Amino acid sequence: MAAVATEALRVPRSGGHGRARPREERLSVLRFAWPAAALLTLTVVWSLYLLAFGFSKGADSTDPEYGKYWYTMLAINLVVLFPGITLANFRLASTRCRVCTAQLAEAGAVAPAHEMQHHWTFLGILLTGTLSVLGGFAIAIGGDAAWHQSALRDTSITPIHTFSFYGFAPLSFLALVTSYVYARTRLPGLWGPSRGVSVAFALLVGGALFGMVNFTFNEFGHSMWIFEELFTYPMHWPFVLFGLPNLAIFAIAVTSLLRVATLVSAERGTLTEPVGAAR
Amino acid sequence: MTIADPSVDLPAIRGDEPREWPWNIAIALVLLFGGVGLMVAAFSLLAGDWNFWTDWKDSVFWPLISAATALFPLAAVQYIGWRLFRVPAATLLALAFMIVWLASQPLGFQGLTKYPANFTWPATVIPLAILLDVVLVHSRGNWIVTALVGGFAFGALFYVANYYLIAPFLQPVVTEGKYLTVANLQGFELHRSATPEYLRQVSVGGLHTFAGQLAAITWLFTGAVCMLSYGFGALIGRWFGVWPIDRFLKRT
Repeated sequence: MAAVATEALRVPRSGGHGRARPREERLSVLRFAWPAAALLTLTVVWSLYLLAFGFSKGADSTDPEYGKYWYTMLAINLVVLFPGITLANFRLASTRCRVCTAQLAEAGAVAPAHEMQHHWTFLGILLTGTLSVLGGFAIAIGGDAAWHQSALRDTSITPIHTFSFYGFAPLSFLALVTSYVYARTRLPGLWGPSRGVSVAFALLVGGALFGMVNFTFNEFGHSMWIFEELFTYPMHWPFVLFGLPNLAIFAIAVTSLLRVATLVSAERGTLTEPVGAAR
Repeated sequence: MTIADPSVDLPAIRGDEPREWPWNIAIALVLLFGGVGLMVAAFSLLAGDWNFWTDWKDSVFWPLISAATALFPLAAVQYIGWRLFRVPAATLLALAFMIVWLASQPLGFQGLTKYPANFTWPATVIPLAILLDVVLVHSRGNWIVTALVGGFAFGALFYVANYYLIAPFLQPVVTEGKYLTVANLQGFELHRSATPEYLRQVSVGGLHTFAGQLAAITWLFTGAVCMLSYGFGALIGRWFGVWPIDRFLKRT
């Protein structure tokens, strides 16, 4: 398990059981849930837009109105949403937490309560990544199968694809990249540069990336060879292959959980060694 | 002592102090949706149309393909849940998966294209996942026994578990002088782009000469395939969910 200085974690117990934490130490639901809430809001908006304009304005890609209703949404995704998240990631990567920096300078270690705040935020970002992966596939089940088996396809940028291939797929990749950047910069003890590149994150982010790339192969195959949309065609099997690394989220979440358990033990004054340490 | 040791103390997930329970919920949400994402991807792209349309739900390929492809994600998450938390997680995943599928499917099938819900209902894997968890717990975490007994039961009982769902659509109908099932009639009335192709595929094969033995043979074969599927799923769970813990590619 992560080599951490347990001496710095021997926090004297300042309060009894049941005494409320100071405000800055409390686990805020908003802090955890706001990225996932934003994603769910986007999901609802996209779903309602699909239901409203999917067939009425999206059945014929050569129709001038198709551009107005669907290429606009594509442009919003490609020009506003994804570059915005990418820029936020650059900002995240180039900055460090000021509180952590101050605590390191003052005491040589980050306070357990503050580190737990970072773990709390990290789990919220991770949840957003998993929800966006799930959202992509859920839209694909409900919408794509029905769409292609009834309306066939006359373009790769169908209404469903606008929100699935060019919406959730890049979102899931960006969300998982954000989780890695956050972990690397705000939780350096577990995932910082000194430890190298985490295999679990490489699997998770790599799976999302290759899954996104596989959409191009999929569309090429449908355009050139198989116009129909049987979901069970072997051409779709690489999506399953690139979905398997999604399981690496268990490895990442458990690593964070064990660190939190160590911090909790430190706060209680019962810590003897990092929880889950290999002997 | 490593994380996989059952005696490793994880006070944060015991929840014995009120202020620690948020971590339990946060972790549970992350892991649950992560597992459901894989299950949705695997099941919709491997079983796919067998789970979308009633007329695809025949007595041979439906149980065979659906059971084998549903089992390996369940096995993977069950393995990870047992190794890391001593929780038989297959039932939890199956339940979450069914909720997500039934919540997302109406958007496309009913919302966009107006296919009726009694034509696009999915198969259930919940009772089979319960069985899988029971075998794991009673075997005290023996993976071989779970694969052989639990995996076999999962496959062999798939059709039995879903029979009450498919039975109304197997009722005979005579239309235009032809003897059909209700599911067949639904398929002819509700057009899809690839419908004739599947009917050609499923109508080929010497198994149809075995008449009444067809179901039993299929169930046995499905059970055997599912034993392998369970093993594959457990391996996937180990390689992707457990092995990467605390492993790093290189120092940068």
